[in-house]
This record gives sequence, structure tokens and C-alpha cells, in this order.
Amino acid sequence: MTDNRILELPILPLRNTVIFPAGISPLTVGRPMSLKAAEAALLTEEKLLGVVAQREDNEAEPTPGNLYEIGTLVVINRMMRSPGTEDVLHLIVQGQERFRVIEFTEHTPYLKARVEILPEPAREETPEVEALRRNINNLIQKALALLPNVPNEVRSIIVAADDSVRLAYFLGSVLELELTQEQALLNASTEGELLRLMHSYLGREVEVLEIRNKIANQAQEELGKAQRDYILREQMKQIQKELGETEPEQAEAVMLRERIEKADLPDEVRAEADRELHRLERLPSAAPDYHVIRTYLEWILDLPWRLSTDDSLDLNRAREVLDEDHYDLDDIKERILEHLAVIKLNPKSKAPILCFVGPPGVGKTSLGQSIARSMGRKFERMSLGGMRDEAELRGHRRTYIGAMPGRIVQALRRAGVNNPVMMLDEVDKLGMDFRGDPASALLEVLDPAQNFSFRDHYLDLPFDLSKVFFIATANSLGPIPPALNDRMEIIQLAGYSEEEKLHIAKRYLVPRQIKEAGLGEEQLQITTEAIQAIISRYTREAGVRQLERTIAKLARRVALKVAQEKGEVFTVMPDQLEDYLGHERFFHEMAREMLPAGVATGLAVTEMGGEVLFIEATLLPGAKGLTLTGQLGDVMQESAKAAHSYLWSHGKDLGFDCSETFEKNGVHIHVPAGATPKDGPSAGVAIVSALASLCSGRPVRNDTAMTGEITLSGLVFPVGGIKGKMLAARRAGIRRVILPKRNEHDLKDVPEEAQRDLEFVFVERIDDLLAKALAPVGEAAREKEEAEVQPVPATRDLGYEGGEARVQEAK
Amino acid sequence: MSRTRKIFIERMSDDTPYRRPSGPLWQPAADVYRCPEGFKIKFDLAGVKPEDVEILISGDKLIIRGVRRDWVMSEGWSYHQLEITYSRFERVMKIPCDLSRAEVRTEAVDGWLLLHIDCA
Repeated sequence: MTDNRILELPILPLRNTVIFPAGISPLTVGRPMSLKAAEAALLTEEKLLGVVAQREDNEAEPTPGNLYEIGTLVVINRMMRSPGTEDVLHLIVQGQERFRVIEFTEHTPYLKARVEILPEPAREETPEVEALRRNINNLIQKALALLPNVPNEVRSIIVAADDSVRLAYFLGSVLELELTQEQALLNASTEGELLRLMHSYLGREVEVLEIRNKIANQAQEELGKAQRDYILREQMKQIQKELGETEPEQAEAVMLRERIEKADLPDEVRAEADRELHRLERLPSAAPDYHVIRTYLEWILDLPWRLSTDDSLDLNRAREVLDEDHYDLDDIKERILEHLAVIKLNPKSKAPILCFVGPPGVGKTSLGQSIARSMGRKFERMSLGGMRDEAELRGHRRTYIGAMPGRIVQALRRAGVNNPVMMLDEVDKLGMDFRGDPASALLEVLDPAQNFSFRDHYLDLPFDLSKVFFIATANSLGPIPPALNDRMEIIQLAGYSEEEKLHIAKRYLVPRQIKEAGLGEEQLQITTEAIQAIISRYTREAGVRQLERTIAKLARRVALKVAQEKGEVFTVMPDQLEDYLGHERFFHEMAREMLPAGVATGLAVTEMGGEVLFIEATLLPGAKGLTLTGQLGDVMQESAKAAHSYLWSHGKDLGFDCSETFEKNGVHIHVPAGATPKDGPSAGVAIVSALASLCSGRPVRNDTAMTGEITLSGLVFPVGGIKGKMLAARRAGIRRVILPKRNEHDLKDVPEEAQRDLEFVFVERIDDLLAKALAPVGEAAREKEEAEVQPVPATRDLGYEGGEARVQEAK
Repeated sequence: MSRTRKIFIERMSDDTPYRRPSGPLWQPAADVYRCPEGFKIKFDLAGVKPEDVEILISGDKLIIRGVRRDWVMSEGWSYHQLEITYSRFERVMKIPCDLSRAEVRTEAVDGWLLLHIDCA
């Protein structure tokens, strides 16, 4: 009934706020124009006043253009003047209805306008509005849960509200909204519009509340912890006072000073330690630097700057110790004794830097331990395998949080002396990536010219490493950078021969494993033959780890029987091994009884020791070129090509013509076993022999194995691994080995038994080789018969005389 | 002093639901008495002229509304303090009797507005 009334009202501009219909709010009026407007409203019968928000806050006297169009009609419910001043009015007004300003009728002394009363926002019953209502209710519940301080009256008003428009207006006045947002709410002419706005404001508000709550909680938690620590610390202080103890930080500084005074430190180190201690004394213990400095000082104090052990210089005793722990390895033992002798004569001599290179399980690491024992030095071992970070070796600078010295300094602290035997295990497995290159850091450590003043990043003080006996170990030299390689004295540890393994097993492994299994020495006896069978048929390795495990297994089986009371004393014979250990696990290639034309016996070395391998060649009529199979590496393929080319071009000199054969036929060379990758140049002579045999039709002698590199001009070059190859040849039942002439001096490394059983033939040129490798012309058939009549005997049956006779024959 | 004639009583049919005019209004305080004839209601409506009061009856709802105007003001005066609420008021009451058949009278006494409802 009051729709679209037109009224003329005094207008009160509002700064920074909006009054909603239904809202009761206090207003303080101070500006002259506003005062006059309020006074004018008070003089009317109904005390009605129009309030309109001002677009900008700062203007003292607003103009009509600066006011919003939509305002609120309010009734002045209460009015009070501030005591003492006439110029400030306190009003309590109640919002009634919204209006739109039609025109301003007066500008002075106060604003007056004709306004049109707007209807309440039209109620809507669409699903959208309903959804908005429900969402708003949810948000309100959330907000109330986050605001524990909302008075109960407000809560009940909000919860009990049944009219969403009223509720929206109420929330608009309660929430901290921007003026523009409040005005937008006031402008809304439909319920939907109003609720949409309110929903977005409320959603944002809830989000803000949630975040604020979270922050407040975190802050409170942190504060709580800090307070708790503080209280506990204060209590501790009190307790210490009661006990008559001084404050802990002072006590600590005093203690450190005492230790520094007593410690035997080099001058430079002492100066640095004093400087750091001064800093420490001036810091409170809660300062983060305090602990950094304290740890640093403790590191300095813990290091053996001048402390060293005395070397035991009894050479005979040292030899005994080395022999106790390791069989053979004479080179290394000699080297250690030499060094001890030098120390004896010149105590200032620098410690050597050795590098043991050899396959796994040959005793490199344990050798280090027994070297330390023989010299009476401490032993420290660090594994460098997989280390990638230079800082791990040399430490982090102290500026970093949690910085620590590197592994070298840590090992020295553990050792407690500055002349331990320090073993750098697996130097060939150092990693290298963007984080740094530990191998380069090792250069400084391992250079006797530099390492007397090694600087760890953490300590930043020179430490004398020149007395440390460094021993590096590696499985192969390949991955070691040349600069590092150059600084070390390389000592090769080849694999053990079967005889050596037999000795090692008898002297060290069997007694140890019998003890481990809890058996008495008498309870388990393994015959020599049984040990030999274990070595050759149950293990394949250069070292003795697998052998030791196998013996351990055997000992456990026996221990089981003893525990089950199936007997007291057991003697293991070779034929019983199958019961104890299961089927034989390995077999070696044995010499073939008959070699057809095109097959030659070569020798190879692997990490597991030497092996016999067969080169098989065949002609492919009508095909072209060379086919190579059997997982051959680049070098081996090239040497096959060289052999092919040599025979093709030099056929005439050799007495048989290969060129015609090779023109008409392709050649296929295969090296079994096909799954094992092979590489290296040392199969050259075997390949050339196989090919020569193929074209000449003369088979290669079946009792003969060969090794050596060939060149295209027909020379035979020396190769490595002679010891392993000779052992393998003997094991396979070969009686005659063709070697490059320049390998002759390597034979001194070959164990006596192999020297005894094998006949060595030395060659310098391929034509010489072929003459000695191939069966003589026309005798192929006879050779074949001979082979059938006299099969190649097994290794151990080879007699001394037989070998001797053959040597003479070859000469 | 009786000004019954000047108060307009309107009876509305049940099917036109009552809608409040927009804007919240102040509510006069009221006492409700039961008596043998029915109910007597006393409203605190001092200063309200009878012609500014309107009573609506709709179902069991009794609505009293109107305007309190400040007619004491004179030229040259100004407020020092204001505590009485002016402008429109409205009060909706539910009376447990059949108002459509009841007889309703008004009486203004000493600033009260008395409503006599006979529904016995």
C-alpha cells in the first residue's frame, strides 16, 4: 500500500557504510551539512531521514554527484548530543525501506531530495534461489563454527531467520564488506540477485576465515612450543643453580678452553681454535651459531693433529703376519716389507700410495687389514663405491646448515692417529655428475707432494695426510681417471690358480668354516680331491668367496647331521659331493678330441680367470664377405677382419691360396658360447689359424691352443693375462700352447705345475704361427687317426716326461 | 473520553493473505486480558492520534498499525535528546477466538488504546 511513494527527505551522506532496511545502526554526525540534515529530520513528525552512501570517503562536503542513487529511508529512534559539544550528534537509526533519488531539491544548508520508495526485493521461488538459500545456510554454519566469539543472540538471529532477504541484509551489515559490495547488495532488486551476491561474499568470507584460523593455529602452536622450551630452560637453570653448577654455556666454554690448552695442536690450528672460542664465549647458547662453533671446536679437538702410532719395524714378524692371513701374493708382501725397511732407515719417508687391482674375492680388502696389522698401524676403510659428491670426501663449508667434515677427516677421527692404513675401497666405482667429481678431490689427497696440507672444506685448516698409508682397491683400471691412476702404485692381483685355491681352502677356508659351523676340527675332514672337485665343478671365480660359501654350505650340512646324531666324524670324498652340494654347477670347455678344418682353440681371460674358447669358421659358397657371430666386441671383430684380409692378400706366401676361396665364398666365424660377450685382440692368432685351416683344408692341431694379437703385415703381438690363460689351457687338457715371442718373459708368473704340463711354442710372425698350428700337409688324415688312437688325456694324467718330449719335438 | 469512531477497523477475507509493508516498524507494547466477554487488549500507544491507527482483522490474526507523529514540535525548537520512537508501528497478535464473528471496540484512555473483543 506504500508502493512507489514519492517523498521529499533530508539526505544524510554516509561515509564508508550502507544502512540496510531492517538494520539498526548508530551514526555519529559531525559534518555541518549532515548535522543540518539530521536536525531537519528530527523536526519532522515522523523523524524520517534518507541516508545515501558516498562514493568516495575523503570528501568533507559531498555533492549530489558523489552519492549513490540508491539509499535507505531510516527513522531516527534515538538522538543524543555529546556532552560539552553541540556539534556532534549521536543517532540510532533504523532502516526502513530502500529508495531511489529522483532529484536533489536543495543543496544548502543541507541536501534534500525527492525520492521514490522502492519495493522490497521480489521474493522468488525458483530452484536456483532455493539452492542459493541452502548454500548460504551451509556457509553460515561453517562461518559460525569458525567464529567462536559470535554472541549467542547473533547466532540465534541468524539461525532462526526465516526470510532470506532479511537475513541477507543482516549479514551485509555484519560482514566486513567493501562499500561497493554493500552498495551492490542494496541495489539488488530481486531476491535472486541479492542472494547471488551474498553467496559470493559469504563464500569468500568463509575462505578468509578458514585461512585466518589456520594461520592463528599455527602461530599458536609455534608460540606454545617456544614458551614451553623457554620455561623448561628456565627451570633447568634454576635446578643447576640449586645444585651449585654454573650456567651450562659458560661451563661448556670453560671446558673447551681447558681442552684446547691441553691439546697438542699445530700453531695455525691453535690460533683458529682460540679465535672461534672467543666468538663462542660471547654468544648465548640459544644462538644458532653457538652450536655450529661448538661442534667445530669439538672436531678440531678430536682430530689427531700430531698423534701417531709407532710402526713395528720387525721385518720377520711382519712377514709372519702377512703369511698368516694370505697365501702367496708375494709381490705385495715384498712391497710392504720394502717399505718397512725404508721406514727403518729413513723414518721421514713418505708413505706409499698403493692401488690393488684385481677381480672380486681375491683378498684386496683383507690384505689391507693385514698390512695394517703387520705394520702395527690402525686400519680405516671407506668405500668410495657410488660416491658422487665431492663434498662427501672433502666436507661442506661451515656456512651450510648441518655441515660436516668429509669422509677422510671422519676416518682420521675414528682412527685417532694421523698415520693409519686408510683403505679407499672401489676407487673405480666413483661416480661423477653435476654435483661434483670426487675423483678429482682424491687427486689432492693422494698426491704426496700436496697432501701434507690437505684442507677439508669444513675445517678449513691444513691437515698432514702424508703419513697416512693409502691403499686403493679397484676391480679394473678402466674407469679410473688417468690423473688419479698416475698417482698410485698399481699392483695387479690376478685370480688364484686352482692349486692356489686348494692351498687357500686348506689353510684358511676349511678351518674357518668348520669353526663357524660349530664343529670340532676332527669332525669334518674334506679330502684334497674333494676340495679340488669343489673348486673346479662347484665354483667359477677368480677369488675365493664362492668357494668359501660352498665350503660353508658343506660344513653346515655336516653340522646338521651331527646335530641329528647321525654320526660324529665325517670325511667328505669327491663322490659324496653330490649328496652334500647337489649337482655340479659348472663345467669348463675341454679340449675337443677332433678339430675339423676351420676350427681353432683360443685362450681368453675373464674376471673369473682364464677360459678356453673355440673359433669356428665355415665357408658360405656364393655369399660375400665376413659374417661374425657370438657376441663379439668391436676389437675382436676388427681382428677377425684383419685375419681375413691378411690371408686373402698373403695366400701365395703361405703356400696355399686363399684369395680364390674368399672371392667365391663368404666366411662365417662363430665363437661359442654364443651368450657370453667377448672382446679383445688376443683371439687374433686363433682366428687366423681357423681361417687358414679353412682354406687349406689342414685342420688345426687339436692339442694346441693359442693366443696373440695379429697385425695386417703378419706380425704377432704380445697379449696379457698369460697366467690365467695357461691355467685354463692346462685345465682343459691342452698340451701345447702357441704364444707371441714377446710374452716369453710372462711365463715366470705361470705356476710350476702348468709350466711342467704344457709345451710352449713362441712365434713372431703369422706364417710361422700357421706352420706350427696347422697339421702338416697330407698328414691331416694321419693326425686324425692318431687323435682317435690316443685321446687327449685328462689334465692330471699328463706326465712330466710327455711335456718334455713334446718341447724337444717342437724345437 | 472515547474516540472509537475515529479508529478504522477493517475486516479482510481469509484468502487474501496479509503482507507486511516493507521496512521494519516499531512495535507497541501490549497487555492482553481474558474476561468473561472475551479479551481486552491494552496497547501502549501514547501520543498516537486515533485517526493514525488502523486495525485489521484477518482470520485469527489481529493487526494494529499506524503512525506516531511528533506533533509537539514548534517553530524554533530543536532536539536535545530523542528517545521516543516515532513513525510507523505495527503489531500482529493471534487471539484464540473467532475474530471474524467477534465484536471489536476501541477506546482511548490516558494514552492507552483499549481494545474490547467480545467473542463469547
